[in-house]
Parts: sequence; C-alpha cells; structure tokens
Amino acid sequence: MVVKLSPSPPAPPHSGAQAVPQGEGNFPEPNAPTSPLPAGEGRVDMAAANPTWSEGRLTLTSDAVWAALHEVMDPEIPVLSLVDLGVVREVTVSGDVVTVTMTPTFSGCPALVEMQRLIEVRLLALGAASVAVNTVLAPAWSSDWISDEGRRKLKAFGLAPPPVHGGDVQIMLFDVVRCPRCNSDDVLVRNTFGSTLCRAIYYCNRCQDAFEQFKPL
Amino acid sequence: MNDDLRAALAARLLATADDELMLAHRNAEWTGHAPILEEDIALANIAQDELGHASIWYGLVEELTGQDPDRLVFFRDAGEYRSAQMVEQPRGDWAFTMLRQYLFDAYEMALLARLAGSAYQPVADAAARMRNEELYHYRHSSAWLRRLGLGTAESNRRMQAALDVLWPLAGQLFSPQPGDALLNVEGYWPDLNELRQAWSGVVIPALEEAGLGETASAAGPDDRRVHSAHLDTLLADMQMVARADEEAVW
Repeated sequence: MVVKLSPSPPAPPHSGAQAVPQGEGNFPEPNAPTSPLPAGEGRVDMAAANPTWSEGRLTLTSDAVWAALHEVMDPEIPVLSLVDLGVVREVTVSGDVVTVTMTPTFSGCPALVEMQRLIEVRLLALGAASVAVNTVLAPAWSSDWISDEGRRKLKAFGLAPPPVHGGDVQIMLFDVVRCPRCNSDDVLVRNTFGSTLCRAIYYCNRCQDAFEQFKPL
Repeated sequence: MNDDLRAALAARLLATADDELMLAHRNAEWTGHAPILEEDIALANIAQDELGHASIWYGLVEELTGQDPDRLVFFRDAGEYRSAQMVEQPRGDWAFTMLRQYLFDAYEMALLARLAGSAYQPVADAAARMRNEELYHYRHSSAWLRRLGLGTAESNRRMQAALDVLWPLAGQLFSPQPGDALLNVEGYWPDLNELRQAWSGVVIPALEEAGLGETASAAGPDDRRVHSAHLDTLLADMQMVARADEEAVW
C-alpha cells in the first residue's frame, strides 16, 4: 500500500526568529541588531544579550551565544531551532572563544555534522574568533527535551509533537497521537519509521490524509 | 586500565561494531527492493540506526587503540573482521531478513540493557543512547515474526527454513573471546552465558508462539575470526569505492 503524503504545509509566518543569513561572506556586523526572538521559553533580553565592544575588544556573552543559537534551525525541520530541539547542552564563553556542547538525537542522525557546521558559522558571524562544538552522549537526548515552544512550532509545521514520556516506554510508544491539522485522535499508525530517523507516518481518518509525527525517543 | 583489559575491551567493542556494520549493510541492500514502500522506508531507517550504533562502537575502539574508524571499516580484509557469520549471510528472502533482524534485535535489547550498567562509563553512556532506538527495531521485527510465522503456510514454511539456517549461526553471538573473563570481573561487559540464557528465554517462547518449531541443533561456528565466503563478497561491494583511491578526501 502506498501512502500518499500531502505536501508539507508551508512554514507558518512564525513570530520573529528569522534565521540570519548564514552564507559565508554574508556575515552581519558583530553589533548588527538581531531580529527579535519569539516570546516564550528561552527568551533572551536582546539588548543585554548583544555582544558589546569594550576597550576596542569584542565581548561575547553567554546570553548572546544562546540567542544566536536560537536562530540556528534543525536542517531537517527548518522551523525548529537547535535550542528548542534540546540538543544544545552547554555554552562556555572564554573571551572570544566559544565552546558549545551538544548531544545527538538519534545515533545515526546524519544531520549532526550539518548542525555542528551551522553552529560554527553562526557563532563566527556573531564575532567569535573560534568555535568548538563538542558532542556528548550522556545524558542521552530525549524528545522530552523539546521545548514547549518547539512543540508548538512542530505542530504548526505539520509534524505531530512527541508525547512527553518521562522515560516511560508505555507512554513513549502508546500514548495518543493527534493529527496536527485537525486535532483528531482518530488516527492510525502507518509506519513507525518515516522519511527521517525521527519521524513516524500516521493517517488521520478525519482529514483522510497522512501526517508525520516527531517520534518519541 | 592495564593493557590486557584495554585489549579485551577493544576486541569486544570491535566485534560488536562489526556485527552492527554488517547487519546495516545487508539491510541497506533492500533499499528500493522491499516488498512494500513502508517496509522499504522502515528497513532503510533500521539500517541507518545500526550504522549509527556501529559508528559509536568504532569511536570507542578508537579512544582505546587510536585506530581510525574509517580505516577499520574500509581497509581491513575479511580475516581481520570479528563479525558473527549470522549477519554476513546474504539477505535472502523477506522471511530470512526479518527473522535475522528479530534474533539480532532480541540479542541487542538484552545486551544494551546490561551494558547500560557497565562500569566503563563510555559504554554505559552509549548503551543508554541506543536502547530506545533499538526498542523500535525490536517491536518491528517482533511483529513480522508473528505476521509471517502465523500468516500462510507459505510464509510459515519460509520462516522455518530461515530459522533452520539462522539458529545454528546465532550461537556465535555469545561465543567467548580471549579476555572476556577480565571484562566480566571489571563489570565492563556482561557474562555471555548469562546473556545467552536471557536471550533464549525471550526468543524461544516467541518462536514457538509464532508457530515455528524444532530446528537443527548442529553446532555452528564459534570463533569470530572464522568467516563464511559471504563476507568476501560483502566487503568487495562495501569497500570498492574507498579502496579505489586510498588518498581520496571525502
């Protein structure tokens, strides 16, 4: 049986957090105004967060780095920032040297290397002289770490967010999934594997159309 | 960590990584050829997960021995691999692929549950990362075990034929290597006899419930240094591009 996937709904005009152009040679000035972040979790006071020049030397703050990371999107889910995804674990700023510690989602996730590259490009654009992105396996990433804001963005993007399971396998695998378009729970799992490692394929009986879920892990 | 312990752990990690790599490769051969689209997607996902696991295990080998994972994968000859013959076998028909996956998933579930408590922290961390991923595999292959075992006479016949080939080979997953006793004493790796009992306690009732019966009890291969000719053909395919130009930069 062939599931016909409807084209993804267009990304919602979500409030702010427009990704800063990240092409090389297109770096904004270190002190250029940064677009405002959406309200909600992880909101950072941008005035306080901007890097400042002190005695002719750029001062990067941890807040500024976190704010910048809020603008680095998951390559596979371009509305979800790496911070909302919960993969950024720690930021250390020492002068203009930044170390970011992150944790992979699925072991075999091919987006990990791209995420590391995007972080580096963004933080160099912010004014860091060097950026190190370390990967740690512990504690193991869980889909529970996706922020509330991230869950709203997933749903608006057409991906059903994963249930919060607290490590409980029964909830993780068997909790009710709702259609991200019509909220109906009259849905069928078509495939616990999908177009990426982190997606499952469902069918909504009410919409009579397929949708994808961000898999609980 | 003394040299003996380090060598024993590296050898066990290498065998574990090699198993995952070969199974990933065999599963990936189905991409574009699975019986239905959903299964094509599912098996490609499972292969990618197992490859991710292999990559983590090879990374831990590298931390212990300094061996580059890419060199380990692409520039060893068959005799240097430590994979079990079960995962080297050609993919066969769908029943063979699903039953092999089931037997391996049940093994990996039992192994990871124990490794999550390993006294060697990097192993415990890696196992904790992989366990929930493996759960998706195990559910999937368990469903296929029942679906095919209890399906039609033809699907049952094919599953039984697959079991007759796989059962004697599966024992090699639990065969000892030099140094295993050291690992067990340190709490780095579980006792493989106990692991085998736990695995048997799960898979034998499941096979019976799926309508599969007695099978050959012939002794299978034991030593992981000994391979079937199938590994040569697999490696010829897997390593061809990398070996065409050793100096190529990816």
